[in-house]
Amino acid sequence: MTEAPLLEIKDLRVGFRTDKKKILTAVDGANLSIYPGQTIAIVGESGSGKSTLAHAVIDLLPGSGHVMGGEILFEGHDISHADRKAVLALRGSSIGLVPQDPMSNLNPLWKVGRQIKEALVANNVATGDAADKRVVELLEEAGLPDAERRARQYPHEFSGGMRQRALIAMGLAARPKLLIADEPTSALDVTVQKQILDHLDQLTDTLGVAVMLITHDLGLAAERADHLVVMYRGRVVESGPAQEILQDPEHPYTKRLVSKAPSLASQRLSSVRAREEVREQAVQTAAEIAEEVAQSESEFGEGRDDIIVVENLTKFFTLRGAKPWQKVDFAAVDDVSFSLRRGTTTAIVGESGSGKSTVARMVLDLLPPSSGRVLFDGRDVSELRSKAERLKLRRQMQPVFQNPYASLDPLYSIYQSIEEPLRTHDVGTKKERETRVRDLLDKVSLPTTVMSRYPGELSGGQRQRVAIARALALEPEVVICDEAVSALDVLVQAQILELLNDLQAELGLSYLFITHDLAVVRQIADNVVVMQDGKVVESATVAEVFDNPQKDYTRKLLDAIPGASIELGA
Amino acid sequence: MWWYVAKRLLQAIPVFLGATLIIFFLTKLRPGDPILGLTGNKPVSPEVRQALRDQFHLNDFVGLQWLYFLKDVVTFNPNFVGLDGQPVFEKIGNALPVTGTLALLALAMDAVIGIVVGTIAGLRRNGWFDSVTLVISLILLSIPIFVVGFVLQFLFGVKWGVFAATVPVDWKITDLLLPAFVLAIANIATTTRLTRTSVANNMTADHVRTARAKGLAGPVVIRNHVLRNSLVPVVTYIGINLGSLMAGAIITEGIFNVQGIGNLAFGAVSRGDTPLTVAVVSVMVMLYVFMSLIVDLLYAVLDPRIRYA
Repeated sequence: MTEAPLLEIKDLRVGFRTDKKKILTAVDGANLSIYPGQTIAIVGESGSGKSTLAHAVIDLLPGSGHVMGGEILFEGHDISHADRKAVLALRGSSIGLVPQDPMSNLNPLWKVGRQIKEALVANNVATGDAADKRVVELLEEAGLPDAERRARQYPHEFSGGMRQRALIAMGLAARPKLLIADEPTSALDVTVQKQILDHLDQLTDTLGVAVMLITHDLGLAAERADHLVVMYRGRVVESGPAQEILQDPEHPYTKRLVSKAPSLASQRLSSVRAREEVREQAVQTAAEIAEEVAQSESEFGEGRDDIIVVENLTKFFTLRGAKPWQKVDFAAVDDVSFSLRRGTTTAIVGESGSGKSTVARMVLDLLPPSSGRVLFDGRDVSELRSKAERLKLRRQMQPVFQNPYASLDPLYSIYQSIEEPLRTHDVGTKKERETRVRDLLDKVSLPTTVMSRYPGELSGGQRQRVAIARALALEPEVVICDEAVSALDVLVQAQILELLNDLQAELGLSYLFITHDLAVVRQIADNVVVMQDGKVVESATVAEVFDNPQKDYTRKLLDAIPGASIELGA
Repeated sequence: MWWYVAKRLLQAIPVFLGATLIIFFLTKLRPGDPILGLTGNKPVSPEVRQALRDQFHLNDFVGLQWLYFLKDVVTFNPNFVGLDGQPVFEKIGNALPVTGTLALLALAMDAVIGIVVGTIAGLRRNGWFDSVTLVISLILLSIPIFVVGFVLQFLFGVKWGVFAATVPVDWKITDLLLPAFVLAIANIATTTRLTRTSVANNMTADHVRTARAKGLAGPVVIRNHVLRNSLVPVVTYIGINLGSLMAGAIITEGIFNVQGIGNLAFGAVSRGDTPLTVAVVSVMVMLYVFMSLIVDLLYAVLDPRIRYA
């Protein structure tokens, strides 16, 4: 390309002052250039400095963040040392931003239209009625149906996808030359993600806008951008054409990303074979446990092959109607049946609002079903009357939830968190419990030194390991994972999936794995239940669902896996 | 929304009944003879005493006395008198305007000073203004209201003569400025802290960063995206304050000799005048219930996410 680059970052260093003397370097000597109309993707895990880099470009570093060295050249002018006015003039009109979380990035108190209009007025694009008209056009352009009415609504009346469209309209309102898209879809369902990114692609192509796409998902990056920049610990470790990096990664971090990212790994045959081995071992171990259960009097259950059977499960929630005294029944879960075989994994897949988490709560006996029943090893869960029997059931079924930041008590040390279920169920003496906690930490590959630490001191992946250790403390037969890996970085996701697989093979566990992301399903599940609007759309083995999906909806979910179309080596 | 208002007003009925019943019984538990209080501790002949006890139903069961009280209140009986023989409604009617004005003045001072100072402190968090404000508000919060009251009364009223030291019966608004400020002091300190925290939190909100990224200039961002969002919790707090201001008025009115609800309640309690005490306290309770309804409605106006049905 002979053209001059639109944005050129040279040896940029960004730091955060953590103390009077200490400075934490978040971006350490980054270089990159973006040419007009080009789309580049910056890939990296959380904490790699990719968002900090983006915020430095528009001078919106949070708190004590500041540029410590290097240059940011926009159309040849250094903006890292420019005065406030010059930067203010660039924001919106030359450089637009589509932020990460659609839920928190719109002001909840103002109508959506007004918030977009502000951008038009501030950048002298239009005022008054002309601006109002333009707002509707922009919303339509961003793919929001019924834009005129939507402009008069508040953000809370929008779904996540709609809000993200509004934010895209806002970012492009003043027709900037560069659009920074900071993880624009990572908070959304995969199908919505695909729609939004497709639309953004098309829109920036027509308008000739250069895009700096920031993402943690290599598959997604490779699919959307022609040029990749891989960041690791504040440094750019690799950059080049997307195809080249995927085929022939050089840096060890990139190599790991290419081989482990679930969206890419799910296509590989090796992951299917690995899963088969896990399953074979797990089913065998589980069968031995079942035999013990069947013979023992004190154990809960009968040792059947299908450890969980869900029959015609239905849940109604009563909502407020149009009039204050009216009530409307809403079927969150509608006639759902499936079974979970001992030592295997059944995945429940669906978008948000499909009722999959409600199913999980009913299986866990945390929410009474409106009708239908849940059988655990032949016993109807809702018919357990005595407290002792309920406790026995709880021991056999343990949950791992989505957000490891919220599911651990911040005031409990890791030791207390894992020991609590043991204490609740009166297992062993204090000494024995401590040995057990050490064993569990060892199983989830955490050092015993974390015992005295608190959740706030651990990373997301470590916390999820703690949550898994806690779930395993009572030696359950079934673990219910409700979006257990969705909040994690791709590499951490891969590690946790591996851990879950190892544990399954070793302990003969059965998993009910709830997720919105089909990409992770292939590495962990044997059977898939696809849910939509509370109903089961398709229920089959993983191989059948991936290779020969029967329903349009399933196909849509499969298509939405980012990077599905990319050719890879073995 | 009207459905919600109706529901809330209906809820006020059990609140009224419960509050009056509890206060009624509590005043009866108070030691001392109301008849003696009435005659100024002079001995009363048994015949007169009997007649007085009959007149005020003092010989009946307490629950029945409460029902007599309710009947008078609900029917707005103009002949409903306290133990001193003076009509209760007239007394309250005379006292309410001055206390109401006092409380509203205090509320206005609380809102204006608290929000302005708190906003400046919040925008320049950890700057010198913020630090000075923090120290001053902690001092104000820790000094009892009667100390501040007497000191300010002495300084402004007696020594420098800027304001009248006490409030005459035929009061003007200017007479109430000093008492209102004394009444508002503790609330101003709290409102300042609350506003400051709220503004500072909102400054780092994601949508504020997005607003900056749109190209909005600093002052516009603060006006449109920081201030209104920060005021939602503050307005709720200030509104609820009116109740505590009415209660705090008992001390302030004592210091400045304001002939308001506070003084009336104080006198009624010390005389053991049950009908007047319960009537005055019920007025306060109803004002409190009414104010919290207004605050809840205001909340919905400020924040479109809140919907009542």
